Amino acid sequence: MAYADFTPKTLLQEAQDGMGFRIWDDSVWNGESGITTICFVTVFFVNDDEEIIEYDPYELIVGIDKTKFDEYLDRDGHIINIADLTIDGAAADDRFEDGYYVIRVSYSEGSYVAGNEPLYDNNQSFLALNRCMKRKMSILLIWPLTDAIYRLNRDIFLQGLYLELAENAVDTGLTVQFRAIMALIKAMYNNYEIEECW
Amino acid sequence: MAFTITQTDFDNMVLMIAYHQVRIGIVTVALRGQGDPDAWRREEELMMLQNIINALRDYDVTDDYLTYENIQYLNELSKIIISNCPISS
Repeated sequence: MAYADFTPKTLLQEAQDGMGFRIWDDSVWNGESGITTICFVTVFFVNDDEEIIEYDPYELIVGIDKTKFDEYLDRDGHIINIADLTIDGAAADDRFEDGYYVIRVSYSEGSYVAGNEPLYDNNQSFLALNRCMKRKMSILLIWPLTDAIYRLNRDIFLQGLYLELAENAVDTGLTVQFRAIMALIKAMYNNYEIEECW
Repeated sequence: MAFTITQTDFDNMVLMIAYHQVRIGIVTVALRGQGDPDAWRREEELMMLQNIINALRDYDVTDDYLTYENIQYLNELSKIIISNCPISS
């Protein structure tokens, strides 16, 4: 029996160290979550050349074990570490590279033809490295406020704004604008010679 | 150098900076309302404190991206900014 009235949706949050993310369900199930027997999370990374790197599907239901799926349904969510992910069967990098991601969750209770099951694509920016670098930027501040420190203070403040802007660009599917904003953010770090955190 | 601050102490430290930032913010709001040109300087201090808070907030002290010296420096800098505002001393 296929889902009768199910609107999938997910929420997620990247870890500060870029080594994983927490994902949790925000679907409208109308009482149908219990019939789910197959649930995959698939990560797609869209790099700066617009090439898509597809991670291998990650099972939230392993056989009859629904532990991960139950965590996912709970507001606390399920944590997916990059160490648990593979690309074409090979281990992924140590951390998620900052950039534009699509996190797809697909659901089935067994009756759907592969590729036709309900799914939700969550456009998401992963910016852990850039956020960490912004923390380090504040260490450049000194007292008293001279003209130069005033400009630095303002630039640090604006860097936070631009990071938010980049996230909003991804949330609203503005990929070209996301690249432009990220180029400015990187230029700012270069200008102030901020070292990468990892 | 080994990290010598607990997460609880660290979080409380950030909370105290935020507390004083609010106090300065209230003064700034009043100055702006009166059209006082000194509001500009207070706003710069608020922005500086916000930059410090943003650098520290939600930071996990078991990570090593910020050194203990970095954290001490930002805390000391915040105290200087706060003490510069007449109402906070």
